[in-house]
Amino acid sequence: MVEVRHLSLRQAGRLIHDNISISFGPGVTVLLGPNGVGKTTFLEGLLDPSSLRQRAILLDGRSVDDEQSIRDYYARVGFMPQRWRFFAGFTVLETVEYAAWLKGYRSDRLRAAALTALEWVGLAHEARSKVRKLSGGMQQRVGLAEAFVNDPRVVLLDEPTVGLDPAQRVLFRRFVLAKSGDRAIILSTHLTDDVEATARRVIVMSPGGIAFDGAPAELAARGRETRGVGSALEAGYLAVSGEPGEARG
Amino acid sequence: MLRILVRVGFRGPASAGGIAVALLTVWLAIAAMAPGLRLWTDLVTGLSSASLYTGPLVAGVTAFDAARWSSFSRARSPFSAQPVMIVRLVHAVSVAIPIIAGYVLGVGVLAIYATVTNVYGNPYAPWLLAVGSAIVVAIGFGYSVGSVAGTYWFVPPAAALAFYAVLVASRSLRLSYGVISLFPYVTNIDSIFVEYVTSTMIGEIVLWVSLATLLIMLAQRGIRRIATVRSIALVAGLVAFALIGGHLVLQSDGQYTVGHNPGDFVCKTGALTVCLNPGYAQALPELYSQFRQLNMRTAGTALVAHRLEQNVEGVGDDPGTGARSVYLEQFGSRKDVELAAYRYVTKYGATPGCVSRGIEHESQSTTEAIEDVNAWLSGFTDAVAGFSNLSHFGRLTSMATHAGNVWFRAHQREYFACTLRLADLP
Repeated sequence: MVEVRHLSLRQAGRLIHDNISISFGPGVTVLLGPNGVGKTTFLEGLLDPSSLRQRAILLDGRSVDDEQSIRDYYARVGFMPQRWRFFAGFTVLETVEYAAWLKGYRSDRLRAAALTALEWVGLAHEARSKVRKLSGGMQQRVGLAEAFVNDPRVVLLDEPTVGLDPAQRVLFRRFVLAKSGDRAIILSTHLTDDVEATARRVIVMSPGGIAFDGAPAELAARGRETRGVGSALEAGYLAVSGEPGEARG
Repeated sequence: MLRILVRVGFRGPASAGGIAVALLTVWLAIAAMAPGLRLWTDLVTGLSSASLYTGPLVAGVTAFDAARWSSFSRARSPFSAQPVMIVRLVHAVSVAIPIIAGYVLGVGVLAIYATVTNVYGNPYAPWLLAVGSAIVVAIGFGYSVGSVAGTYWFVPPAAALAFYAVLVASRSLRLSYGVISLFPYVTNIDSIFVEYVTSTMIGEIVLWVSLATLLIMLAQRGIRRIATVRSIALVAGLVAFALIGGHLVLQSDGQYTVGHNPGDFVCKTGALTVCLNPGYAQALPELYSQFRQLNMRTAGTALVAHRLEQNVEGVGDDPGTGARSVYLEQFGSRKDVELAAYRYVTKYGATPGCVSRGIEHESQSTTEAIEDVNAWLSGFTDAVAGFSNLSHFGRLTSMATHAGNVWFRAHQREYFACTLRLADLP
């Protein structure tokens, strides 16, 4: 589905990732790793091929390397940033309609696409409400609707469950699982609960590159010492990331 | 999408900006009407001068709206399947529409007001469009400042002040008219007695709209963008349009109008014929009466008026065969009519003789004597208001009409030759 070849990423001149080659198929892939390891940088690199010095991304086997293919790529990728921002003047429906327009939808299809996405996240009844009047959790769900409004092939979610209460987190995980059948969903998180609930695959990033890439059960199996640790998955994470303390994302 | 954004724009501060533009436009245009007259040209003059205030106001409002939008937009538009410049332009247009609608509403209200109150004439469409495009360039300026500078509280007032300062500075520096007219502040005076220099107005419209679009497209902060061939071509096209517009303005030296007599008159005929533009028709009886009085004093001399046609002073002064020009700017009081008569006697009386003799040959005595006579003939006493000795003028005005005419005929040679002295006066 989406493939990265020999990707190197820098931030403020500092090399964050060097020569990463990896591909993502259908299903949920969770990125774990300590703070500052470059999970967001990696997602942003995937999000915007035009920002890369090298032409390193392929979507469905086709290189994303010129103006037209980059535009097509944008139209087929969904993204929800760590800090999702909304426009105070917009209603829920207008926010998602605008996202659909940015993804290349024609004006006559905006309303239908936006309402479908809002139904997916259970917010159709709030379509006419101003986003600023919603709770934090509901605002996150508007962000999720925005990320899925174009029915994307690849969805990038940067810590999407932060700030959600347990009930909303359950709804979120169900939604992501339901939508992961025919698309690649790449999700960064601090919470190993998210891995257990959604992931087909988990990647642990470390300063040296990718420390682990496999199924959640394989990661759990790496855990040698589980005493004082929340779960086998966290123990596995600590073992592969080399972090001394409790599991952090 | 534009439809949705425009709806949002109408809900936001741009809408308040549009209402303010409408109010300012109507208020300043009506305030500019000459006393006693109802002329579209006065409304257009007021509309033009309003751009000194609507421009800064609009710059501030759009700076606020653009800043409010920018952080939301920056998080999305760089990864948009739509070209980034189109994304920006669509939003800028959605902010501009409520403001432009305010201007159109203002002009519409003026049109209704003009119809209801029988205002004479019609506005000239390119002039109205030029005033509108001065607002458009203010939108472009404010939008670009807001996009770049962000959501600090001082950005909108700073944008408004900067725009105002540029307009004022453009007037206070010693620049040529052509260069001054490149700035988006239409100050020219519209009049019935002019022909429009359309190329200047078209040049300003092209320049200001192109400049506004360029400012909006190029002022981007922190956006990685693909410089598409299409967007580069669009920028190049806008630069070319701006240069063409600027060239047109400079070529005509920023001139908006040239003097011209349209010859559209209503006349009052009797002892003499006085013809005024229909917009000034209500001044006809008083002006006729004033000149009949003047004719009685000047009977038997070259200063008698037979047919008077309202005209423009200076360039474009073109009375018909056998007619003389009369200049009437407004009709608020009797003084305006007396001033018109005074202008007549200075144009057709002694002044040409004084000019041909040269100023150095003209003594103080002659100057005062000529002015006393001109003020007496026309009834415009302000002409002698600064004189220390008004005894001669007093004796002139106290003469009966017939006696005055006898005296003037006796001294017309000295008067027209500009050799009249105070000692010659009664």
